[in-house]
Amino acid sequence: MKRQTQTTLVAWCFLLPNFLGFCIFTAGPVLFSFFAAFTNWTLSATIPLQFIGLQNFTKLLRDPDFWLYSANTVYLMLGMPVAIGGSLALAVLLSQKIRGVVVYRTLFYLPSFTAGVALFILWKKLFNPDFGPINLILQYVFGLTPSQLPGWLSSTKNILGLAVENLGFTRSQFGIGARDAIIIMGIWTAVGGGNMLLYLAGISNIPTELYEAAEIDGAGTWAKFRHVTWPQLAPTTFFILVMSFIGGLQGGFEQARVMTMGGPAGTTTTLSYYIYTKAFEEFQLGYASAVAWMLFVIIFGITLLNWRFGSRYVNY
Amino acid sequence: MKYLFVIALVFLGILSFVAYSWRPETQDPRVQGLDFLFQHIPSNNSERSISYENMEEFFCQVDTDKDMSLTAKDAEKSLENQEEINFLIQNADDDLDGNLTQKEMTALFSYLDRNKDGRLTVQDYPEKPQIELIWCSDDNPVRREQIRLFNRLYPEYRVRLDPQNSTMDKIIVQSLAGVGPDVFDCYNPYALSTFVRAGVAKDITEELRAANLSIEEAWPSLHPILVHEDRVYGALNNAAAPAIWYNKRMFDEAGVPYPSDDWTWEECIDICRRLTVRNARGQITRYGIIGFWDWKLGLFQHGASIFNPEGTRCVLDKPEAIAAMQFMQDLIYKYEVMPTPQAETALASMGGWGSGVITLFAGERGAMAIGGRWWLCILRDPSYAHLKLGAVSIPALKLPDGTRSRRNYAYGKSTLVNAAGKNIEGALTFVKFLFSPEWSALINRQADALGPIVRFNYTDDFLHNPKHPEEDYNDVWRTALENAEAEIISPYVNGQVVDRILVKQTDLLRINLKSARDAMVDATKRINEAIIENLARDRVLRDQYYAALKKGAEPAWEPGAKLPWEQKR
Repeated sequence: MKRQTQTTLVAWCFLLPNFLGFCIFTAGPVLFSFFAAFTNWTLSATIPLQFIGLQNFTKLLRDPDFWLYSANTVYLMLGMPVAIGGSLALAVLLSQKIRGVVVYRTLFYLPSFTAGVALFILWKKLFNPDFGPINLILQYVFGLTPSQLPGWLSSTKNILGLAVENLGFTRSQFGIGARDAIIIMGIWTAVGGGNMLLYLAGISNIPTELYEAAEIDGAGTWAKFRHVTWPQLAPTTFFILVMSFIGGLQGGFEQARVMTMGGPAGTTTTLSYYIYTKAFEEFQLGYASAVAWMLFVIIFGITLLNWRFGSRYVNY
Repeated sequence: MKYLFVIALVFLGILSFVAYSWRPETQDPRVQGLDFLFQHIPSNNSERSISYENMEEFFCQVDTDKDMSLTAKDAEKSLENQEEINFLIQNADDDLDGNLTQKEMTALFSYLDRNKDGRLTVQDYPEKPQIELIWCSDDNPVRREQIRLFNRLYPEYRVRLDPQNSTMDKIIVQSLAGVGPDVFDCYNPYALSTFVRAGVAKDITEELRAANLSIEEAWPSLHPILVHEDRVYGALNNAAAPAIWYNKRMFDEAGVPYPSDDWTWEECIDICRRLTVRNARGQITRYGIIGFWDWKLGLFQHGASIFNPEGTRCVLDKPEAIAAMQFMQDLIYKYEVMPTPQAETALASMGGWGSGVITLFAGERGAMAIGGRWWLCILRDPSYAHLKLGAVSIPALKLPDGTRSRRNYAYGKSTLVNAAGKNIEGALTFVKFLFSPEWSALINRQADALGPIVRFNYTDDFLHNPKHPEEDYNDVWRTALENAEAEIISPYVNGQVVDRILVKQTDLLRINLKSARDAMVDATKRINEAIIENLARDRVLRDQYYAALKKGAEPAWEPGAKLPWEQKR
């Protein structure tokens, strides 16, 4: 046996367990769901499995719930710029040579390695409208009356005034509610998370000569950030942006499941939660697969747009 | 390179072997028990032969305080036999009260004495290993005792609880994949219909008939969670109907007389107002009445239902249904005696078993609560010993025609057999066991709602549990169930779809964003659309539907409507 063939065989032997796992548990189901999207697959024994062409997709486009939950998904992504900005700010602060920086980094990263469910329950308590610390602080600091305080997880209101039952805006829905509560929690979790670590790594890779040159040119702190740090971090920011879009569009399931069950009145139901309810509560697996593939198309499209236009600003 | 190749192959081989041969290690408790007793209990005859008298002697010897029971205190006092006492308490304390009685010791002896010759000998070691049965159910604190009872009575089996996979989606998906449980619980007729249609629930009509067991003995209002299209699929596990819990201390402090079974909602609302407490900021810190958002109770009392009797059409837009929902909304916003969703969300934790409203009531945040007898599984906890509890029927509702409605609904759970299960025989044994007097007696003693078989609930022990003499209200729960009715469901639509629509509309009603009329009209429209959509998908169901229409049932569509299956033609 040739040495090259032997090397390849050895590599395959080591890779095989992982590759098989990937084929059985990831690639297989993904392909299967693609075919399922064109069928009427339900778990009912009285409905024979049939190929129905694009029916699931045409139904989906007419499904008001799909559009409402898409809007919810996009709304929950409104916190993304704040989370990314916060991560950058935190990374800049934590890249300074200050005492106990390792402790700070650990503390800020803590939410990322704490179990999600535990965090959601904690935030549920914090968002307690009557006796939660957040409303107590709002009441104390701003002197708000109980009726003026946000209802948080039990309220359908939102800062854009999105209507509950249709795509549109209504004045009566303007305020702070469950969706905003989830955004705030998301920002808190994301600011000190993986994005911060990526930025920290990015900052540590910026050559000090650039800062020295900027100082010689008389640049102050802001100018150094504006003209050295920010442009040097462009690839990192671009990567974070792409990943955040993907994560945001796929997200919202755990929060909805644990904190609100998609309510009140479906306002925290995102596309991923909708896929779950359609597939595993209503057992319309064919339709749920179609929604999942539609979500894939949306994510793929947005990622392509990001690459097409976002990469213009990445010069390094 | 050759070595690397060999290492890679060995690595793959080991991995395959481990994956193939790994099984979680479980020890047969019968073997464990006999081994231990032979080792520790002194015998007159030989080393490996123990009579009941030997056990009894040992029991009396280690029962240092001579109170005819072994407890942790006895273990503490007896340094010599500490290990033995702890072992016995751990393995023979059937009611898990930390107190091993002589009766429980006898039960252990009888369990281990396989050949029933009155002695524990080597012949009592089991010939076959135990068969493990997986039961998907919620992890209620009383469940372990229930499992222990079955395991004692049927030593050839060992039930293992699998609470993590007890939701309908997991049961169906796992069962269809061939890795489902042997028996699983079902909480409502919709779920039963889904399990049957998915081919997961086994038809056990003939098996029950052969064993001379009849579901006619179970509470009739709960037959819809046992029977689907005239075939029996499960045995009733427990049964309940709502009634009102009240905190006697709060009534005493406010000088309000305890409610009586003939009270009305007007009287209830008046009492609630007198018992509601606000803080200096005007926030309600104690509600008159708390409870789950029990709009179904409102519907029943108003004589309304979600569907017409044949289940062919949603009828929530009828005046009585709208009045019912309006009444539920008024309890929150007009009378202010029930918490708003904000308050409830604030006070409830995760939802599900043993949380939310029960802990809220136990925490004295409500003077009364709409609940069930099963709450006692939590409220009997020593930390709630300060609560002085009472129970009373649901108040009567005065209807526009002057009559009083006391209509109520029943709820509970059935246990079904997985049609694709690995141990059908064992699963059937378990389901048949639910018809036994022992099971009903245990459910009643634990207060895990009421026993499934009606006649076993008419005992003195049910009314007056000697361990809980303070519970003088057991007849309230039984009367509630006697008067309860079965919920009307529609076999023509997925219950989860109905739930999703109703949750959304009742949410809007609850947060006062929609009037009862608008919410119910919208819910009706969407549920009827869901029926039509389901009929379009399922030809078999459609044939059944048309058969029902021929008998005079009202369709889900308006006259002249274009139906999807007609357009296809």
